[in-house]
Amino acid sequence: MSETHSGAATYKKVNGMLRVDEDASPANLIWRSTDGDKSTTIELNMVDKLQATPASSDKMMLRIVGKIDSGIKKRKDNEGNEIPIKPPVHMFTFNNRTVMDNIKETLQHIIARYKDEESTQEKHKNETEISPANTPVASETPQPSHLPQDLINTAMLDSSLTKSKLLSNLMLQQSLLKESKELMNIFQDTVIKSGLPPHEFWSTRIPLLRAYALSTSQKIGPYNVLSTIKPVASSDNKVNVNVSREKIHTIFQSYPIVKKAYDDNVPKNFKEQEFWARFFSSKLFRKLRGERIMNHDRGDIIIDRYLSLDQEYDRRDDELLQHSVRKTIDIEGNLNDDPVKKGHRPDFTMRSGIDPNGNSDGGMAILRGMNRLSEKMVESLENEYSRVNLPQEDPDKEEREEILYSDLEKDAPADYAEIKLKRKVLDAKNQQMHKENSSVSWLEVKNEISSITTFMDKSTLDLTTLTKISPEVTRSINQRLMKAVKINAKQSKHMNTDQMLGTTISSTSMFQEASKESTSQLPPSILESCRMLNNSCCEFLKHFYINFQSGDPRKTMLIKKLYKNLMDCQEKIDSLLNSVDSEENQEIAKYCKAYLVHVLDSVNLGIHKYRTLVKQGHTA
Amino acid sequence: MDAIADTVFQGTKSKTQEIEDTPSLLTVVVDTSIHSWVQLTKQQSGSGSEGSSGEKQLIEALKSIVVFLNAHLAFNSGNQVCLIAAHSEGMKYLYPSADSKPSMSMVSSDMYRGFRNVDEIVVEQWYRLFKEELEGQESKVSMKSSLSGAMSSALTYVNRILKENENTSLRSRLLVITCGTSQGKDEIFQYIPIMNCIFSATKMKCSIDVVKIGGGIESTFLQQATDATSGVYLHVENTRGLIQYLSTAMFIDPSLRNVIIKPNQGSVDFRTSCFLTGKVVAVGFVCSVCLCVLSVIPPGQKCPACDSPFDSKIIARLRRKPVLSNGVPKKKNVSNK
Amino acid sequence: MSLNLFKTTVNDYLEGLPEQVQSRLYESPATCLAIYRLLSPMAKFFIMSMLFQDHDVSLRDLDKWVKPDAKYQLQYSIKSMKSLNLIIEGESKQPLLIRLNPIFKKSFKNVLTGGEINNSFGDVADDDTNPVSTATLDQYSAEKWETILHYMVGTPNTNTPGGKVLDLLQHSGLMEEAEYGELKITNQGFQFLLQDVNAQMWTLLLQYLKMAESLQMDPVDVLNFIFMLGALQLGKAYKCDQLSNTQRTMLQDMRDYGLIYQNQSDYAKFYPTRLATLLTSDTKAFRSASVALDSVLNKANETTAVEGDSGQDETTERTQDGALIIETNFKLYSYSNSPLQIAILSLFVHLKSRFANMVTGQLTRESVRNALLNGITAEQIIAYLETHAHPRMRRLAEENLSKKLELDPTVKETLQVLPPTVVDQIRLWQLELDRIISYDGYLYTDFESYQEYQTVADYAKDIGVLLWQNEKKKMFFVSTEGNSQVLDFHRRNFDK
Repeated sequence: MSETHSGAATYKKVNGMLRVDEDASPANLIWRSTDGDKSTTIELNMVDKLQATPASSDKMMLRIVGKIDSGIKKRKDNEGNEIPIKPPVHMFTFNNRTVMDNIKETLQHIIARYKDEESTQEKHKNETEISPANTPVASETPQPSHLPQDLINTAMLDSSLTKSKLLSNLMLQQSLLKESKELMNIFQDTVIKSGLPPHEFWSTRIPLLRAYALSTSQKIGPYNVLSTIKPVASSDNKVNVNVSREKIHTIFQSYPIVKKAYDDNVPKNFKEQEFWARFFSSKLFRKLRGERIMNHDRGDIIIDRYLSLDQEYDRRDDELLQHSVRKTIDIEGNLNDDPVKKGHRPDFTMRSGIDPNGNSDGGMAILRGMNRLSEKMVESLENEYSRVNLPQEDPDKEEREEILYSDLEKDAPADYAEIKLKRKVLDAKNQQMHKENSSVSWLEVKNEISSITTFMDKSTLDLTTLTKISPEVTRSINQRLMKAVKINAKQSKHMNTDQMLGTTISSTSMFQEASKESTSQLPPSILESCRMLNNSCCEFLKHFYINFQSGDPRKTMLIKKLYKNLMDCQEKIDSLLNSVDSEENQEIAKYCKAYLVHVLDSVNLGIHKYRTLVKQGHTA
Repeated sequence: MDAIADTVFQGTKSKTQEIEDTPSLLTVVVDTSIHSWVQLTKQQSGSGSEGSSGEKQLIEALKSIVVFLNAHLAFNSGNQVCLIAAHSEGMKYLYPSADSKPSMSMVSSDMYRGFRNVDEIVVEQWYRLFKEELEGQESKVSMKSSLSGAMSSALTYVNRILKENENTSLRSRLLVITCGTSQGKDEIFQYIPIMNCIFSATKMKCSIDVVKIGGGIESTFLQQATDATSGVYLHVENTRGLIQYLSTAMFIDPSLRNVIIKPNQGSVDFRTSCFLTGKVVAVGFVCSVCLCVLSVIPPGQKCPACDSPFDSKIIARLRRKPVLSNGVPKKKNVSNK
Repeated sequence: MSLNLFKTTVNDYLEGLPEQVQSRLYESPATCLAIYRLLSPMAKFFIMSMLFQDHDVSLRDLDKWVKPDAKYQLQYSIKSMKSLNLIIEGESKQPLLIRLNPIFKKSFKNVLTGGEINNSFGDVADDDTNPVSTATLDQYSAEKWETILHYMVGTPNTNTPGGKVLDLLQHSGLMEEAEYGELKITNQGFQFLLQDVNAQMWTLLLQYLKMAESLQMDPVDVLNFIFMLGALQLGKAYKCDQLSNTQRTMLQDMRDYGLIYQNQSDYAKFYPTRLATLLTSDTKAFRSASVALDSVLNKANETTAVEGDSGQDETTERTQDGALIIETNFKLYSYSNSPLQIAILSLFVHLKSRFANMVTGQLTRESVRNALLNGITAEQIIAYLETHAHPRMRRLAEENLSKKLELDPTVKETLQVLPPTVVDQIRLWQLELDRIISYDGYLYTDFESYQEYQTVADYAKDIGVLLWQNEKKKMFFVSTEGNSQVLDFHRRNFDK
């Protein structure tokens, strides 16, 4: 670490040591002469340019150009012109190229970070964006997606999907209405305008509500967020990463260590963007991701301090996730629980993932880490979707049943569901009925049979008489058959089975169908109002009949109300028809009437039924 | 290279379009219950239409059937036939007959051997059947029709022959010739057997064709049978020209069924009938265990077909009539639940 | 399918006959029945529907009976009916009105109703004192037929068939004369060997017909006799006195082919054998006959007489003799014992071992190549394998097909009895031999200008005779047929 951060360098012809301190905030570069009396500090967030001699030249020099501080007052020279302030320049000479390269890289890294931070800040200032885009380096986030609202409590799924709960869940109903325009139309027409009680409206649509609730309440479960974040190497030596708010949220949930690091450092030491920039280049990130930490990894000094803390966290998690083995069957545990035995550490052959020298290549740690993560994810879903209501698994049940002696018990009797099938057999009574009803007497039948048999007795059956049928007969038969075939042929032409799709399609294409519809003789506005009226009338009729037929005396008031609604429907239909009639075009009136006549009949029938009932009630 | 390969590999594709000339089995079920034929003749003469020029309708039907069987045998040398008569006491296999070789030669002796063997047996068995009925007693003869029984036995015969000839791909079809006058009432109680026939015929891919001679009303169940098995339903007035019907509309071989348009007329009434009353039912009740259809709520709170008990609360609810606040029960209004 | 093969060859022959001959043919009811059975199902349907009517039928009506996607079969059947002169112009002479050939109509009606048959179906001899058993008949016909086939294959130690038969074989191109006056089998002969018995018989009979014309035998009589043979009942004796002279001469020849049997003592009667009665039937129903044939051959040494039809009466399934099973690894198992079958198999299969009731072998590249080089086509090999496939293979294929159709009824799949790997591989082996197609034609080079080359080449391409061209070298190749046109074009435009 220190190799990249310090080295021997000459400044203003004085030998000394150069050191880059990343801990400090902001990071800075300190040069101290060998005898200690001279030193220079450069704040790395005030650096404008970094230049180095090319590798081909003999000299090894590094030049740092600082930024112009706008706060310094500008001096004026004798003529009154502003003297352009020269930016501060520092030159360092090295004698070791590797050292120079290391320091150059470190400086580049840090300076780039600061520069990007600046640029994004400026961009934000210019665009006056309120929500800061959290990118480590120069890339915008996708649109902030709204977190799904919890319309139902998914933890208690069983109870939140009951009929009563759904009926009272107004938020759910509202969002469903927003989703479906058709439903909204019907709702407006019937509930808001005509006064159908909303309770009624939704009571026939419970399945819709349930389906909608389930489909919207689906959440993305926990997943390995970090593996989805892929740093993309771009030009000019930068690495871009795409991170959105949700992902950050999930990262904090899954990795408490990151949250701790965040809380510790932001906003105390550096801003959020710098935090993320550091994080995504740190060794901690690689470890959490499940990648090997290479020795040449740069890492990030500050963030990587949390690595050891993370190991603590891991140990704690492991203990929590441990499924305890019951003492009764943990033979190995019991054997090894011997204090005498617990002596030396097992040999390398008994420790997994370790080579003879006692070093592990880190593979084991990675696997353990991933397993730990997966188990945590599964655990987190314990209480979702009414899982608490599931019968608690009894871990001992299996063991207990095994131990029991059950072979002496009797077999459970086979549980048959008996189904008795009866066939309808004509009994004598029915037979008698048939006989009496038949108009043919036994005598006639006998006569017939005897005449046939005598005929057949006489001679061989002459089949050639069949060839002498009169042509009119055959012609008429043929005509009849051909007529039927013609009709069926036309039908089959129209109903071609599409060989590819396997379905029957009509010969007219979909486009033609649509255009046919629109030429429905009515102007679209009237058509729309007819449709709406039809829908609302059907709705009222449905509710009326459900309550009317139920025979429930408690619903009397409701039935009365619905009856009044039916009367309103009737009026509306009449008024619509009248208004259309009054226009000149009789054709339109005819069509409108044809469309609405059935609904009108149904409404009238319902009204009639109610009135009869009322009359009977009065007379009785 | 492809130019050469294509010609070889494309040669096989045209095979899919050819109609295979497979042998088929034709089973004919003839309704020979005499009383219905007598009724038919009476109706015919009653309505003033010309009788069948002296010959009995039944004889003419027999002749047409015999020639039709010959035509079927001529279609393909591997074709087979079977003839079953449904008469007043039950059903009888006319061909192939269990009896020994025919003794009376009632058919022209010049005929092609293959046809003659079949025809002789058919005609002789037919004759014997009538002779037996003549000698039978009145009490034994019932007026009910045994058509469904005959159809079921026909289908069992088809099944047996198909199994025997598993190696050769034999197809099958069933033709029902029924004489219908007052069959309406009988049929109601044969609904279930006929439905069973329909299901097994569909399974075996055996199409059912129906010729109904005379009678005013259409036989709904037979119509449903032809519709479900892609068959042809014809309603003719009398047996004049029956052979022409048989040789055109009823001659569609199973291998041609996919390409020939069937001359079906009219629409089919798909409604089922109630188990208790026998009436055709459009809106009714269904037992959830055995799926039998009822038009009224059965007495005894049990399903009449499977004896499974119904929940009394639900029955009570179904029985409820619309009620207003004065609480007097009104006229019953039954709905679907 | 060899079934269709024999049908088409017979059909072709019949269609090629002149109209008067056809009319004379239709006077015999047996011929009518046989010809009816040769038609396609749709044609049969139409004929039956027109049989009992007397008035004309419009072609449009026929059109309406058929669903739109089967128009191809409709055209095909109308064409075949017209070429056989079964359908002729209507009486009213209006366009599109047709009627059934009256002679055919009358005869066919007689067939169905038993009217005037005129001994067309043979005259049964009722006074048969020495009935001949079916076993004898089978043995006789098998013997005669096998002699011919063995002679063709070249198995040693077989009798040579009669001189007239050899004549026939030579004229039909199945064998040709090699050195020493001996006959050697040709490519066509090889193909012949792989066909079904029915198809083979018909090939010989058609050749016989062709020869008959030159021998001044009335072809109508010959055909009538042949078709009559097809309608006779096995085991019954038939009288010869009603036969015409031509037909009597034929008796001798038919004996040589194993189609009829005549008792040495009594030449007034003849007995049709199984080969004869199954002349006009389907191959599928015919398989039982080949079973009988082979079983007779196998059990000729045993004392138990085998009834031909017993194979079907047994409830347990007997493997048909000659049934073969082919696996996806190209191994073949044939349940056959007859030397003829084995000889035929050895034409294209590398036989490895022989057991008491079966032979095993493998379809190798060399064996198939040998067959291909001998003139047998891949299609024939495949057809042979398919017709002789074991019934269980067939059943398995049918089950698979019905499963596929259950899932998706519109899938157009055919029955794949043989494993598709084997089928494709045989075809590929055949393709290996066809690596070069050669065309005859004329090469045009040395054009003076590019313009000239371009115009002429374009013209050749337009009329479709250009086979190859090379822009850089300014040359192109034209087929022989189009050469004259190209030359003309060039002369017109460039020779000034």
